Amino acid sequence: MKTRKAATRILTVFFTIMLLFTLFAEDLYHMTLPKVATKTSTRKVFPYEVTGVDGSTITVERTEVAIPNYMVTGDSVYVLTETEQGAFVTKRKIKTGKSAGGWTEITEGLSGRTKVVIGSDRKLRDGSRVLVDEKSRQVSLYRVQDIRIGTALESQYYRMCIKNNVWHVILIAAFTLLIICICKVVLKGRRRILWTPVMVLWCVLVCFYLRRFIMIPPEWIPEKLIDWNGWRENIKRFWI
Amino acid sequence: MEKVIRKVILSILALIFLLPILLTVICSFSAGNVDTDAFRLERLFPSGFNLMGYYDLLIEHSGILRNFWNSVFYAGVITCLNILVAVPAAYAFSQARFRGKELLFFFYIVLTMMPLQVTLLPNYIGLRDMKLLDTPFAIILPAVFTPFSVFLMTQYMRGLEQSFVEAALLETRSVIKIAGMVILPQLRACIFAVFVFVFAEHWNMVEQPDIYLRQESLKPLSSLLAIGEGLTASEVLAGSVIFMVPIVILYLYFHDSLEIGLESMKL
Repeated sequence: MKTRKAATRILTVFFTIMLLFTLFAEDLYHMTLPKVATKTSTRKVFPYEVTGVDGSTITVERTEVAIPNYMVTGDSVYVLTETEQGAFVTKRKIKTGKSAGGWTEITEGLSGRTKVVIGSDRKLRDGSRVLVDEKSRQVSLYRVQDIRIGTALESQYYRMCIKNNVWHVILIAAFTLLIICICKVVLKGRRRILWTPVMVLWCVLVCFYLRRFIMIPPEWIPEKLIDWNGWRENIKRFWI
Repeated sequence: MEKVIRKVILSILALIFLLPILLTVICSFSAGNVDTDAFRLERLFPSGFNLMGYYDLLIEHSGILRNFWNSVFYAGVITCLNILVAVPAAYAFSQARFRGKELLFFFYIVLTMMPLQVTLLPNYIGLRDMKLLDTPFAIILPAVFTPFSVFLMTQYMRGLEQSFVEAALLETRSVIKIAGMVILPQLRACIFAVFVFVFAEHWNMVEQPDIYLRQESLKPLSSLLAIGEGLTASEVLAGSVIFMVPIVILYLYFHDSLEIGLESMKL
């Protein structure tokens, strides 16, 4: 009888969650689209030194595609493509050249007048749909290549990320409710002692997952919970 | 000592049987770390934890939730109608006397033992001629009249005490009253057992939707997960976990009735 009551409870919670996601999935999707700020690449004049036949150095000017220095964070950038279905980002590899006057020359990968993403409120994925938010400069807090940002902007970044990533909280709340219901059914009698370790483990996993979105500095939590490659290397070193 | 060895062996066997489910659940929480080409035991302890598979399934590609509700609809409707058809049929086979009863019951047993693939083509031809292909009726109608539940219920009813029926016959000659007031209350455990079997069978159906339905929006989730077309590995794993939950809860709900029902069916 008790098992039936618990099973009915779990079933009700599960189907309610599924119904809520079915009804509000579209709204949640639009609410959770990454917001990006973009800047259009332009052509700038770069000075080049050319050695003449007689050995003298001549400075010539060449117009090349360029982006501001702060946009260069690696060997790729996210480029915005606007279609009828919406705005999408694609990852493109670039090769950089000279830097002059706060601009970096792009020798390969970009053409003139391409919209390049300079910041987003969370990590982007190649091909993902985004919302373009040109007015707000706050979205440039999160540099697309690197989640570690300047300390002056960190608190603003985390607060904004919590607001924009509320779906994480919704999903985690749904899972927590389900886990509590299941534990109430399974962990009875002598097994009640397992409640604490199960809940502690769940909290650790949730904190690990949310480390990018709540105010825990990334340095406090490692990138990976278990580094299997590192373990294998250590074991090899130990035996060899 | 013997008990301990037995427990250890049974625990190891149980773990081996549970391993695919355990791997599915754990890997569904580590999207991006899933390697579907190679099975390694260390995948049981993935290096990351995230819910991106569930986000992709429930929010980004939420069209798949329609297929989940299709599964619920098909399994629920088929199970209810199946029981509605099976109870009177089983009552007739167990209580009534008419010419050809044993022969008819023999055909039911033969049909029960036939694999699904044998009846797929005749069903397809029949549904095509009735112009029911690519509609929900193509899934529901053939499944409502499956002989398995009739066979189980008949076996159960044949084991019931006939003295109750004889005593009821002294009071009334109405077959419906006897079935409703005498037979049906005793059938509770059997009905629950049949409910679980039929629901589980039609919750997991893959071949019938693939062959009778063309529109993706009408297919159940089992069919979509089996093909995995247009879904990433993490979405398939997350979908599999979500797909497992109702059946597990159903078993929790009916497990005591299932045991009583199966025991009494004398299979």
